[in-house]
Amino acid sequence: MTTGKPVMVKALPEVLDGTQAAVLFRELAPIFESDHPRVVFDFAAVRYLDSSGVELLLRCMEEAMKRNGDLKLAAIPAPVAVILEITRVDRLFEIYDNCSDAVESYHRFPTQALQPENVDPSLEKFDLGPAIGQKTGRTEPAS
Amino acid sequence: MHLSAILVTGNRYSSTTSSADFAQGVQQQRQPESVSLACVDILGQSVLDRTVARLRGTRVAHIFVVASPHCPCLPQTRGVKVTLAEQLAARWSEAQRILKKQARRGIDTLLIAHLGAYAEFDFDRALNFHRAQGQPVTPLHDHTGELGYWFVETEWVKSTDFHALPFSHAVVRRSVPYLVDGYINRLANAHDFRRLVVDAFLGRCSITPRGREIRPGVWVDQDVQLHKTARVVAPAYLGRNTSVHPFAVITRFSNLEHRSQVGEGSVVANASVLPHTMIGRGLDVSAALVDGNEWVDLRRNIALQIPDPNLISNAAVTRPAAPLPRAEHEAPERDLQPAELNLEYPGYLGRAAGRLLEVFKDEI
Repeated sequence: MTTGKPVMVKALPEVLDGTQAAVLFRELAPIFESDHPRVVFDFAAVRYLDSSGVELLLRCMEEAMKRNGDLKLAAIPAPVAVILEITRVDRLFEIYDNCSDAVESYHRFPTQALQPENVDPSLEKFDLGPAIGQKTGRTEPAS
Repeated sequence: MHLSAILVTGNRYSSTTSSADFAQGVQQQRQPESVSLACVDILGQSVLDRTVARLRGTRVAHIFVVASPHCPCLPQTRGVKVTLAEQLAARWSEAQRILKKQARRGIDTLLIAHLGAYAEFDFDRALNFHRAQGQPVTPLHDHTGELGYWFVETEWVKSTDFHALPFSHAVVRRSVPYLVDGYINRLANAHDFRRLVVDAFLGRCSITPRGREIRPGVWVDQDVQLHKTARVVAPAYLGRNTSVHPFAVITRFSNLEHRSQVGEGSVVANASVLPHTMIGRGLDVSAALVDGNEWVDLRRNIALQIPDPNLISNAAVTRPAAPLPRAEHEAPERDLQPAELNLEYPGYLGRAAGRLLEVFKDEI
């Protein structure tokens, strides 16, 4: 099952420092002002990212979330991945190896994760007991 | 019997992929030559210093150190003569000059070491082996090969037109090597450096951290500023004049070398922070070696320069405090300016520090 909402893929510049981040944020503002923005940042060309670049990612994520959208990252080179890891930002984003995987992830229906084959088997050991109203056959001790 | 030793510091080897163009487009100052890891403090004292200290406990009468001018900590011990030379080839020429001079002065045997490797061996046993073999040069080996340590008879130097330093494989091929059975670490890369730190904490080698063991496995040197809300979990080492800011966590065999700083809410785990390095706020420093603005990621095996003082920076100039004798034909040393520390952190780093505060508030 897929959803048909378009996904915007934005290729980021080589250097993502304070100056570039400000320019980029202005450029991206109309996208994040639309309803349910679905954006993928393509990092393939990025060679340098500093704390201003990280700040930009967080602001974009914030804007997307405000409008029930999402921002995903793709094709992150190893040095950039190091910066995202140092700043603990990597755990806030869905990160994909390439853009097509990131775009496809938007088209997947989210309940797919709840299919029986995708459920973590370790969860089965937690027996929550019978549903409310279901007969158990046990006799409650007299109080 | 007269003995001397010449210690020549090498350049830093690297098995990591360097991502120098990561900082492309950003002005940065790179060191002209990477200093050998033997010159960098490990738990408060460099391998060079530790080797000098070990040699002073033996019958060696004179110790000569030939090092790079960028070597951050040179031995200031009385009786140790230090000479500086920028290029490695110049350092070896200087060592050769010292060797010939020592031969003329009646020294019988010299230990020449290319640091390099950290090796623990019984000096007297090795020397006796060298004497017993009656050979001009005895290289020291471990099970993987040469260590860069040689015992040399000065008679051989005097008798031949000697210009063999550093000893090539061809020169020592005919010699019977002395096999070192003690602890060896070649210090060839950042992985080796981390391994030496871990081994020292675990007592696998004779290196002990400087300072006081305030709790089992937690070593603290002089003048450490540790905020009351910061956490240090053993094994860990805080070098002299280090500063650990609120809610920072230092753990898992991590060592902060002298005058390094860890910002608010940052976590240093399984990592080495080298002298004068400043770690910003709310950062996650794990499985890494951080030296000024250079970051070696040990998981990905890459080294990168991060010229962003909000993340990491070099807090001071790494040059010897006192002027030291310089090898001939050396250009004067450039004046290095201290890196500026930007105290204005972006908001997100502060927020990250705040998040950590939330995480640890129950445990404080």
